[in-house]
Formats: sequence, structure tokens, C-alpha cells
Amino acid sequence: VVKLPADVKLLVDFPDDTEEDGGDIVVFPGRNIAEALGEGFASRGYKVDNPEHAGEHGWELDVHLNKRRFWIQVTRIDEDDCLLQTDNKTWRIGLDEQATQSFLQDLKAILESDARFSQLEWLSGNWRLS
Amino acid sequence: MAGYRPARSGVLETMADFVERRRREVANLGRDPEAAAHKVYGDVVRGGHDLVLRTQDDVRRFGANLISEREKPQTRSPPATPQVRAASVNGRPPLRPSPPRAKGDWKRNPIVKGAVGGAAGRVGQVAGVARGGAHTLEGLAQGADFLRRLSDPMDMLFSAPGQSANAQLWGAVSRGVDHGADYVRQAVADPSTVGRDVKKWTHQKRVELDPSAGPVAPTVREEAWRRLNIGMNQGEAAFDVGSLAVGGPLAKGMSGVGRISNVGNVAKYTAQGFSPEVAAHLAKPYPSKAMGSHYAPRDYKLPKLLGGGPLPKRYSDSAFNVLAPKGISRGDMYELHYKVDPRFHAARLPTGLELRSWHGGRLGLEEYGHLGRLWHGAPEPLKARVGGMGAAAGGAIQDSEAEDAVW
Repeated sequence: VVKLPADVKLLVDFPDDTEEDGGDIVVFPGRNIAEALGEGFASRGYKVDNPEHAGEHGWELDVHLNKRRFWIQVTRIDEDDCLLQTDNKTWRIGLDEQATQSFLQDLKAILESDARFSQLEWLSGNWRLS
Repeated sequence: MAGYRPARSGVLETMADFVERRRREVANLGRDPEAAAHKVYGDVVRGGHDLVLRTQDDVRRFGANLISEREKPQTRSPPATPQVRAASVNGRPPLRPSPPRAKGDWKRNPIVKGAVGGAAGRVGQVAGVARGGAHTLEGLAQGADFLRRLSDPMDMLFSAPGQSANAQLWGAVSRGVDHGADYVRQAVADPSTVGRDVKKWTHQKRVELDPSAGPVAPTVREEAWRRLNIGMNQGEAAFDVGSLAVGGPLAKGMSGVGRISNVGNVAKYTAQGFSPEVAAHLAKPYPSKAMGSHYAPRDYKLPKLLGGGPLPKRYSDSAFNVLAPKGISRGDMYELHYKVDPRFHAARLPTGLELRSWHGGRLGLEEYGHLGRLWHGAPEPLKARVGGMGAAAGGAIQDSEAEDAVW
């Protein structure tokens, strides 16, 4: 099994759910994407928290499995481009690589099984978007 | 803000792990002297008997009698008892002062009580400073790194000019912008002023902090406990006064100090390649209701042994945790956010502009390294507050080492 990095850039086909007020964005987009991911994780036995608005970052989602907490940040960059950043936020001593990889494999399966997600580009190393 | 740093074992640890480890270290710093003090005084006073001496006059009088009796070579009669009878407490009759016995009398001797109590107070002062630090760090956990930098001589060598922790602290002090700045300078230059100011507190605080404001405990053991607790109150108070002295005024005054505002500076953003419309949007003030950059990440959750759950919102969304300098423009805030937060890459722009998002990578911005993120990512009030913590801790430790501490 190929080891997956924690972050992925992809194309999304979701309605733009940005909320604006007088030329200012008051709710950044990505809630619908976070909810779709939450449904995918729930179907795989994860306990899923409600997505939380994170300002310019977009939306955040916590999913739990086997006393572990995994964090996902959804940043919708423009109409099509989206960035998912993840982290194993479980309090632990040492690395928890096996559980992290299991979570990332589940994420990959969710993204690949939903036609609204496409062109996954897993971002490894010290990446920055260009 | 997330990130990784090598732990002492050399293994990479997350920022959250680092914060938890520092919190544990600080908590132990408070408990260890306390536990040591309990053991010492437990050994000293074990086997003591109750003796009702409710005021310092009682103690002095009783002690004088003891000494005078000792000075009479042939006298074997018991020393005089105190003149003042204690009233009953909680319906229980007061214990009469019992005459000293040949063995173990020193354990109930008021002179020993005074000496033991004084020593307990000094131990308590140091423990209290640590307790104050632990309490403050519960809310300012990530500021601990700044304390480490303050005490690390290598920090000055490896930091860019003006960027070391010491330079930043003294720069902050010298930039003080209200009348509190004089006090700040004085407190940093002469930490004993912190102790003197503790004496100016209210009467209630005086009872908590001044051993002479309350009755002496009946036994050496209880007096040791009383003085230890008062000492810890003193230490924690010094910590708080010191950190508020430095952090308070500057926390108010430093927001926006030293930052050139680019609000309205459309030219800056057109020079970056943005269209006039987008540049005008970026030159607007960063909205006060916007989320800013959180120093302790919003998704940070406490471990279960500390109750679990997120950080309290009153801290998480406070000026000590949210980086959103007053008077900063949207464009500058995005740049700052991009440099200090490796999780922030792009910000969506409103509809109606031809550009859908601001994108730090496309501007060729360089993000700060780990230390740069720690410093530049910290809101100014947090920097000022942490600077105060260092000054107060130093002052209290100096005082505790002095034989005649200023309390």
C-alpha cells in the first residue's frame, strides 16, 4: 500500500455556498463539501462532528474512530479547486502512523467513490500551492 | 497554527504535543517544591501538641517566658502560659497552652514556629511563582516558548537583529505608550517593586498575603502550613502583578504599534499585480468581525485527563490568541496569515471581482520558519504578557533568595 501524504488538492463539483453581505464574505465556502466528506466517513463507521466554519481557512471537520480524532480542513480556493488538509489530532506519545494511514486510505476511498471529487493530487513534503 | 519541532528525544512532535509537554513541566515545577516542603515540615513537627497562642503578642510573651525560665539555672517550674485566652472555635473549647515537656518541646516552641514559618513562607513564595506560571500557562500555553527563548543565550546569537526574545521584550518596554510604561520599566529594572506593590493590595489580599495580618496558628505544624500557603499566595501574586504590570499596559498599547498601515494604499496591491478593483478590496481594513489567525489553533482540544474539549472561547477568541492587528488592511492580514500559518494558503474573494481568491503562493511570499511563526504569529498582547511573566518570575526568585525579602 502506497503511503499517502496528509494533504490533497482536487477538483470539486459542488454548488458555491459562499455567503456574502455587502461585498464582504461572512461565510466562506466549503460547508457542503465538509458535509459530504462527513457522510462518507460516517458510512465507514466513524463518529462525525458537525463541520465548523473556520473563516478564511474554510471549514473544519473532526471525525473519530477507535478513540482517535482526525481533523480535516476544507478550503475551496475557487469554483473548482479545493484543498483538503488533514491531521491526526489524537493526544498520543510517538507516531500513530498506522491509524493515520488507515484514515487517509478511507479518505482516498471516499473521494474516489464520489463523482463530485476528481483529479486528486496528493501533496507531499514541504509543499506550497503555486 | 500547526507545526513540528524536535522534542528533547529528537523525535518530531506536534505543536499540541509540545504545548502539553511544557504544561506538564511547569505543573511539576509547582508541585515539586510543595511536596518537598511538606516532607521537611512533616519531619520537623511530627509529634507536636496543640498550644493556643492566637496573636503574635501571645507568641512573643510565651517565648520570652521560655527564655527567661531557661536562663534561671535552678528553676524547674513550667514556663508561664499566655495571658490571652482564646475564644472557642466552632463550638469547641479552646485548648489551654500546655507546659512544654522535656522531650519535643522545641517542636512546639514559638521561636521554632517563627523560624519554621518563615522558611515555609520562602519555600511557598517560589512554589507560588511556579503556581502562578502554571495557571497563566493554562491559558497561554504556547507562550512558554518565549520564556525558553528569553533564558536561552543562543537565541540572541541566532536571531535576526531586533528579533531575539530579549530584544523584543526590551523593545516592547521602551515602546510603552501610556503612563504604565514607567512602572513597566521600573518593574523590569527593579523587580522588588513587584513585591512592594503586593503590600499595597486591599485588606482582604493582605490577609492572604501578609503573615502578620492573621492569627498565628496554634501549633508549629499548622503555622508551617499557614505560612507555606501565604508564601505561595505571595509568589503567585508577584507573578500576576509582574505579568499584569508589563503585560497589562502594553497589551492595550501595543496593538498596532510599530506596524505601518496599508489601509487605503491601493498602489501597494496594484504593484503586486492585482487589478485596481481587487487592489481596492485588499486595501480596505481587515473586518473586525473576521476570524484572524489563531495562535493556539481553534481545533486544539485538551486531552481527556484535563477535561477534554476545545480551549475556552474567552481565551481562544481573545486578543491574546487572535492575531488581527488593529488598522491592518485585508491584503496585509492575508500576507501575515500566510507567513505565520502553514495551514493558510488562500482566501476566497467576494463575487463581483474578477479574481476568485487571494493566493499567497502566487505572490511569491515566503513563510516564516518555526521560530518566526512563534514570534510573528503571536498577537502583540500575548507577547507583552509573556514578557511580564519573565520579569515577575525573575523578581520573585531574587526576593525569595534574599534573607529579608520585601514582603
